[in-house]
Amino acid sequence: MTVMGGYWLKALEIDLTERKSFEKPLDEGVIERLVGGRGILHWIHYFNIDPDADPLGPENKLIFATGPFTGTMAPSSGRFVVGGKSPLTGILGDANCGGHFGPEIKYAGYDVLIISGKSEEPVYLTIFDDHVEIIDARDLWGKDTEETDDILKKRHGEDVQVACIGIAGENLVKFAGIVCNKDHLAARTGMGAVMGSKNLKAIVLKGTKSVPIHNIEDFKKLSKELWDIIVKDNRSGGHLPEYGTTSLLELHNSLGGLSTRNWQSGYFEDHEMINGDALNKKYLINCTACFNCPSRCDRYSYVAEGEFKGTYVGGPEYYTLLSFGSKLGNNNLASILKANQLCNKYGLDTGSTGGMIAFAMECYEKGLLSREKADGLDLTWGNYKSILKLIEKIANRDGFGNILADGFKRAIDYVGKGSEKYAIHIKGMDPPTLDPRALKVYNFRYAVASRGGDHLRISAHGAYELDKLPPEDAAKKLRFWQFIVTIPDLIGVCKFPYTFYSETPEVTFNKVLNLVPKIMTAITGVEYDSDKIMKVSERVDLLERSVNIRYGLKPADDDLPERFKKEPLPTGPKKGSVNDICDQLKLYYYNDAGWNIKTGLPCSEKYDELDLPEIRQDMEKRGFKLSSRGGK
Amino acid sequence: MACAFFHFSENNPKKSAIKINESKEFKGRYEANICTQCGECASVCPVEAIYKEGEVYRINRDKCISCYACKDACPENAIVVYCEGEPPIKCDLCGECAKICPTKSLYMEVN
Repeated sequence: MTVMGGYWLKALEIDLTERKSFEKPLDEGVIERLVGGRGILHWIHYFNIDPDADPLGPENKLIFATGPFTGTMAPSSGRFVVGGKSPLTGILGDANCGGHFGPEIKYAGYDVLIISGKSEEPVYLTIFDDHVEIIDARDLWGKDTEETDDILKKRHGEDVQVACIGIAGENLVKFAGIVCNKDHLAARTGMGAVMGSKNLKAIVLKGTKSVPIHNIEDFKKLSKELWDIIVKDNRSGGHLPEYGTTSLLELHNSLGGLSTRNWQSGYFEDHEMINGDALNKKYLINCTACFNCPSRCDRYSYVAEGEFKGTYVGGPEYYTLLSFGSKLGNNNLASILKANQLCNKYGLDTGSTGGMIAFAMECYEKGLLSREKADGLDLTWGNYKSILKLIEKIANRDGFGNILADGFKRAIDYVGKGSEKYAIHIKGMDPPTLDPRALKVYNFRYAVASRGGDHLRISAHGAYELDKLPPEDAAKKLRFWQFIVTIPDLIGVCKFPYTFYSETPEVTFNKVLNLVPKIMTAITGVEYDSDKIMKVSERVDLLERSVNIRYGLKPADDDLPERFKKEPLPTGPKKGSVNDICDQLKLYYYNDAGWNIKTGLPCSEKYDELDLPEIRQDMEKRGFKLSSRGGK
Repeated sequence: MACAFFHFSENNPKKSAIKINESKEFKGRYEANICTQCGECASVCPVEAIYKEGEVYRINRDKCISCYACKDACPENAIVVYCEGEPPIKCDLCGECAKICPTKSLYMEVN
């Protein structure tokens, strides 16, 4: 079928080694099967990045992908995803980002940007419609993301969009992110380090093209309908503007699952000092929106007095609040805002930065890490001065910060003496907040997320109810919700207003299974329905699994850290609970996915069932022995 | 977006007569460049392509020579050039932006 709108069917590749750029056509058949976003990103990833590639070498590629909704009048359409091989985990990496950069890719006339090779000297790129330039960036190297954004806007006009790295990315900190509009980060899995490894400081974009829409009248009507649903819903139109995501901190604490002191506990006694209400009362000055989004969940905060007077930051998200708050035993909210500001300026993932510091603090508490080995810092829980100092040390790769900047493996080697049990990660990436001992079935999601410890690959309505289901039904439900929340990642919109920030599951179903396929049809001219779009999600799951298998992922990697399985929660509403369901759920999850429990490989039929014969053929050519389903 | 959709049936915020910018004075706050229908643009147009219809100044896109004198004259910075060489865009008080604004920050007022 011919794609009539929503795409340019074009990728722009910029080879920094050869210092040249060229357009690459995107195959319509692939677009129809994988839609966009994560789907198209990891298709390009699969066929263009060698499994043996050094993630920080010129052979890795940095791929920015949009979806057919990105930059259109459809609500919350400001998202793009950037990925490649992750330097943090050594497997598939990607990070999704809001703000205004994604739409500009579309206005410049491309669906995808691919950065390959490596420049000898620091450079930045300008892409103004079809005109691409590689420009000397030696004067920008060492500048923080805010300064970089300001300088580039001054130089190229206020109406350009900038994605850049800070010094963390320059210094190849393995959990450095890419920063857009100063405060929007494509944070997870270290894509900022990949950008830094290519000596690419920034991408400056400006486009003037109108995104083609096949049936503009239907599109207008349906987008407006979806817009009104999001605006009128108490969650996406009321709760999100009021609290952003910060209310989750209180929710998770009330469930007994708020990660506290490196996951030693699920209950933080000082939660009221760092929760959404405290933020709103003391520091919030405005809520702001990503491109074309009525939910406006971004926070903008300012500290007007005290030790951190003058600190302003676009944030925090709940993830940042807890990563520098409960997870580190820190109840000083202003210091959390300062930590957030530092991370945004340096271009660091607040989640992984907090996760690494939490590990260090627990090792310090347990006597495994001496003050001397920690550069003389007192790493007692809640010592916010040390926390802020460590953030600077990580970004600058200074002393002990240089160790933490490389992630858990190096940190464990450095601390030694059995510290691995305090390194709470899955596949090398730390999970966010909700404790797998508090919601056992739901948080099994961390074990199977394709990018490592992650909560956004599966999110659900009724997460509390899942624990009551027989495990085989629970695993099916998890897969179902996984496919639902994959849809926004494919079409290029935000998960929050489209899925779990709805008053009821029915509202979510109406949005993603009824209106989204209709809007897809209006935009592209290709017929979509709920079954077809859900199947795309499942196909992308198989694709991502294949990427990871090629990187050597084994079934043992799909697991939760020992702490969650063996150490009972010491306090809070779920006191005494352990995650005793992970191994059983894994069997059912693998079975539903069609993955072999011994090898982790998808069965060969799955590739045919989901119409990915090219991947099956390539896997077989590489010597992977795909068994048939009957042989599991 | 709503503006470009209404006037051009195109999915392109660059073709919008209203521009939202971050405030220079207050971080985290935003300002909109909005036409006040003051008529400065019409007074400087060398080919009289900007004319008054009721309370609204409109641009005759066929007559316009894209000299952008109006853009320089506008005290509100509300004349938008989306593409060099093309006639600029200005607000005609259609109200589409106010209709879609989820916070009602934009609203229509009858004097």
